[in-house]
Amino acid sequence: MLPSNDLNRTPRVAPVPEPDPLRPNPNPAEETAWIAAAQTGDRAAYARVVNAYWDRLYRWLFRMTHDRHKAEDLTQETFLKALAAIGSFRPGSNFRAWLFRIGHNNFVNLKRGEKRSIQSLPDEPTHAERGPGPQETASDREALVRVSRAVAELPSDFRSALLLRAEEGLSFREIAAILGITEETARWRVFKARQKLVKVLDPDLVSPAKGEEG
Amino acid sequence: MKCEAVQNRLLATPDALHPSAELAAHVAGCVACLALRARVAELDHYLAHLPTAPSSDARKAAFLESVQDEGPIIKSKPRTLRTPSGTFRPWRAVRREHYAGLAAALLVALAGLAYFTRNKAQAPEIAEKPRYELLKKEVRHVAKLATSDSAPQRMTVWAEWASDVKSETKDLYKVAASDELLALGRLFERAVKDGILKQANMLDKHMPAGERQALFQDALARLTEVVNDTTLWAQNAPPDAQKTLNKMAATARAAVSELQPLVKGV
Repeated sequence: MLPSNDLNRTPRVAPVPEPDPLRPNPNPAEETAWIAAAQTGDRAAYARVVNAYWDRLYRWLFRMTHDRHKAEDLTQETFLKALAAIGSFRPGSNFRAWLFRIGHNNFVNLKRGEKRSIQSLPDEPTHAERGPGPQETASDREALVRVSRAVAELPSDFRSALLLRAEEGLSFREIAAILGITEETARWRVFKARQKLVKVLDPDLVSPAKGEEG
Repeated sequence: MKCEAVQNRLLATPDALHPSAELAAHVAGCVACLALRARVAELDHYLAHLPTAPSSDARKAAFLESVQDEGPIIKSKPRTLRTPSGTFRPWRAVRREHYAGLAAALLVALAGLAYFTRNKAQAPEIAEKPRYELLKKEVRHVAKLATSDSAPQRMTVWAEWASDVKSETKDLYKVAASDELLALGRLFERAVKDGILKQANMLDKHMPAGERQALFQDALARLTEVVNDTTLWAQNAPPDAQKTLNKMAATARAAVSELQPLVKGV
């Protein structure tokens, strides 16, 4: 059980992140038009798609690889493969899920290759794009570091699902499509990852023993 | 509802601060579930603010430029300034006595350019340019591949790409880091195995003999060139580069052996 001063504590932070100007969601109508144009060979339109998704795809891949250069390589490779296959993209379906699915496949291929070679040291995250503001306390920063490390230590299958949910705000259905799993498995992975991370934030917390959602 | 079930649902809900009415009613009167809700909300905040090593702007910019480089190019016609008497020719306006001064100024400018080129920017340009050029070529290759709708077309595109990778290797093998050369080696291997050979095996067996022969001759000539060049370069290359060059030669040699029996088809 928690100490009494924690009992009625109001959460210090808002649960839903505010809109991030660094990663705006592309306007759906605009995105559809860009993709349609890209499918007819309009490179400027494809460049707009790349511009809209580069940072968010990179961010996800960085968390999966812990290596800036690998994440950049994977991001570039993903956009190259997407360009090669853009003609096969079905208009009206979910472009973001399609793109992230290619990225995920690239990541899986990279991991397979790395199992056969020496692992390099991971990059330390050096810059918080949307890190805590000046009003945040040292204990917040320390907690952020702990969460960040714990996320990095999650098995990659769980990490990828959690981050697609937490950072990209994707539905379980979309996550399932990207990772090639069932919706229920996606739900279960996100649940288990959150359960583990809550424990990291507060080891004394009485945590649920079993998940209901799986 | 039991605490365990409530807490599991809190962990599964996307917005722990605003759970369903049923959950909210339990949480309001339960110390443990209230604490967990606070932690879950905190966690969501931290997950939204995880630090990231930022992507290089130059990398993204180079990629964007490469993508657009292949776009429809509208070449504007060179404009000539016209005077009432006809085309403006600047040299007519310069008097003979000014030629010496112009020539001297030009020499000074060239000397300055040479000085700065030698002393300042040479090394980074050599290091950066080939990577960027390769990216442009890769985008071009991908774009061609995307518009190729038959195995012979795709085989040609892959053969051209294999030659492009070989050309980049030529520019880099003496100076590049071993991992960069390894990456080039992998690109080449992929171009040969997943590209040329795969497409060669997918060709229609009843393809006209002349077309088939021309297609294979092109691929074989390119691969033979790779065998010869990389073998030659390997003789004077740094030890790390030798491995990659020899592997490229071996890959190309094996591909030649595999393609030769296929030239005639059925």
